[in-house]
Amino acid sequence: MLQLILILIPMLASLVLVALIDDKTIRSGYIAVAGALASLIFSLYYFSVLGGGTAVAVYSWFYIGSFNFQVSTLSSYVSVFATIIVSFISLMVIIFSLFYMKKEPQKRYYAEMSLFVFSMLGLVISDSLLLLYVFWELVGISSFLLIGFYYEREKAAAAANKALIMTRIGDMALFAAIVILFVNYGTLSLTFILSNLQLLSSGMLLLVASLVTIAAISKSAQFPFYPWLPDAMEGPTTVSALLHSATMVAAGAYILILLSPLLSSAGMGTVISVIAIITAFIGAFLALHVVDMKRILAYSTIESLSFMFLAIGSLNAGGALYYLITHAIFKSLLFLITGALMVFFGTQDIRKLGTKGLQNSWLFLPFLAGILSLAGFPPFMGFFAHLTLSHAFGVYGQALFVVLSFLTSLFAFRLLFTVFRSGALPSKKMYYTLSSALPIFLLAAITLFGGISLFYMYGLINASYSLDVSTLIDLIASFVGVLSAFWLFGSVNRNYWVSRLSSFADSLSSFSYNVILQLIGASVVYLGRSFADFDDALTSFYESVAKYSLILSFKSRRIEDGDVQTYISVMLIGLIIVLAVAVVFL
Amino acid sequence: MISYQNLTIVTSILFAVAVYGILSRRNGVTFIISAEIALNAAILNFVGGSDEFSSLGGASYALMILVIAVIETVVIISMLITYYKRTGSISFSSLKDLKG
Repeated sequence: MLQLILILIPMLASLVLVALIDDKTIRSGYIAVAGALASLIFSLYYFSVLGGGTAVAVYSWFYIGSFNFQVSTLSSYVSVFATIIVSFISLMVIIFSLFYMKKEPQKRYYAEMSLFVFSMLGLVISDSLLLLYVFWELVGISSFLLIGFYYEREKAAAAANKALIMTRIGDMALFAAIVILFVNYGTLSLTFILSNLQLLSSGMLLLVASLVTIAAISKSAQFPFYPWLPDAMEGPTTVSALLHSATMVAAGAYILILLSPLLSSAGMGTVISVIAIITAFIGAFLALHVVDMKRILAYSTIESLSFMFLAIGSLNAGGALYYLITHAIFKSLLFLITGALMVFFGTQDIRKLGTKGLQNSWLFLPFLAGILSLAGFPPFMGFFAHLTLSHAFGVYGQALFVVLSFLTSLFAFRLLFTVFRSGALPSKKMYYTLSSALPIFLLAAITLFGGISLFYMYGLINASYSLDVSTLIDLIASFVGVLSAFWLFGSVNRNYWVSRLSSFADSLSSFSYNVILQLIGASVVYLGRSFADFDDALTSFYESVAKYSLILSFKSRRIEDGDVQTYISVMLIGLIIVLAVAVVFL
Repeated sequence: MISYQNLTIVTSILFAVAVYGILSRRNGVTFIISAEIALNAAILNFVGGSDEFSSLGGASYALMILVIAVIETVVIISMLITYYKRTGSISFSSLKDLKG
């Protein structure tokens, strides 16, 4: 019951905001803040009363005959940690929105944000697959609405459509998986299905696991579905902060964490790992290439998500969850700082931002904390997250992870060194208010000290960690990344290697990706054509049926002329025919 | 004594007359009279059957049909009177206009 209250509060906030959309006097932001705050308080309380283990609350939805259709919610440490992180990040982002969205049409924004929070909270507490699917779609719809918040801009509208359509593929795959599971089990309860996996034939298991994987990689922007995520930058930055950290893209990783027993018994681990590694390299190189600050962070999100997928692929669901939490905190921190910079300077081009002398601003230390966490340096939270990830990898995984750590810290510190240069600060612009400073400093503090939570949490979420020589190599690689970033990007003048790197990234970003997309597009069009042809045939069949029915009705309507005596005579003739038939045949 | 066979022949003729009247006459009152004849043919059949098979079922059905026939006549005649007041005619030919 507590869980229902927990998720219903943001929904109520959203409904209230929609209902009051024409009211000018009310400060809509506070309603959304109150909704998120209440959710956070409820989830913390819920955490404190949670007894451990996995409990399922079952509610009857409706009955058809003897078939009782049930929905159920899940309460385990995994879901409650996810609830806490979702409501906490949402609260931070909505508070920051009070500062960021001052000049915008606010009610629609806050209503959509609350809907987004509601959908994601619903997703993480669902045990019934149907409920899960409903919230999964709601997350997709609300992110569509928010990405296209500036719908009057053509690019924003196109980006929203792109996000919706590309994740649609995954939605269909998830739906197919749910249908298959329901046909095989007759129930939609996830806990029941996961504890009875042996009832499924191995072919079915593989099919369901691959469908779920497709759903997750499209939602979490993994290869080959990643291009929607950088385009989603067209929304407000606060939306990116929420969408990239705790809600939309986390949904894909979360569903794989939930279903990790299914994936492991289907043997999907290697496939997911390969996809994740491809995505990680693409994300890292593209993050090195682009100059738009939000896009850099978007590619970094893609790379971080592929770390989660790598953990899931190495059957380390607890590590994936811990990385998800860590990533949510530092990525929302980085995005909020980007949002503040956009408010102050009106640009997100890192070359222009580099001329402002930001190293002396109050945003520098929080940003440094976020970057260090992203690159995985101790004592920041990212370091502990890397510990939970790396112990489960094999030798090749370790080696690739070292390379990825190097690349991560390279692009992270490129961002830092390019944007936060020393110099004279434009004095008046960098004001701060409670609503902008509180979320940023709070998130920075958690990034700095939150790593301790690992020692409390790892037993509860079934993660483990190890400190060994690979950790050291990892750290050295990251440090080398920092040094090379300093050497390459520390000064304003671009040197030889930067241009080489840049041209390599250029070729990567244009690398036949369009060809793949066009191929997919062409096959979809072909499929659509054949469906359309079939549809045409069907339509013409129905048209001829309709035509002949019309002719028949013209003939037969004569007897319905309104004359009582005609009716009676027709009735009598019918009676006589029935009697004659009865006499002849009986 | 009239046999049951002969009675059924009489009632069949009566019913045929009634059907002919129903189908051919346009006048409302004639129509009702024809309908009454059809019902009476049925009643005769029931009563005869009741006597033939020594069961009171047929007689009780006959009573019920009488009651229903009365009610039906009352309803139809009241409708015809209203209709006559409006149009000055009780012919069924003009009743076609009521079709949906």
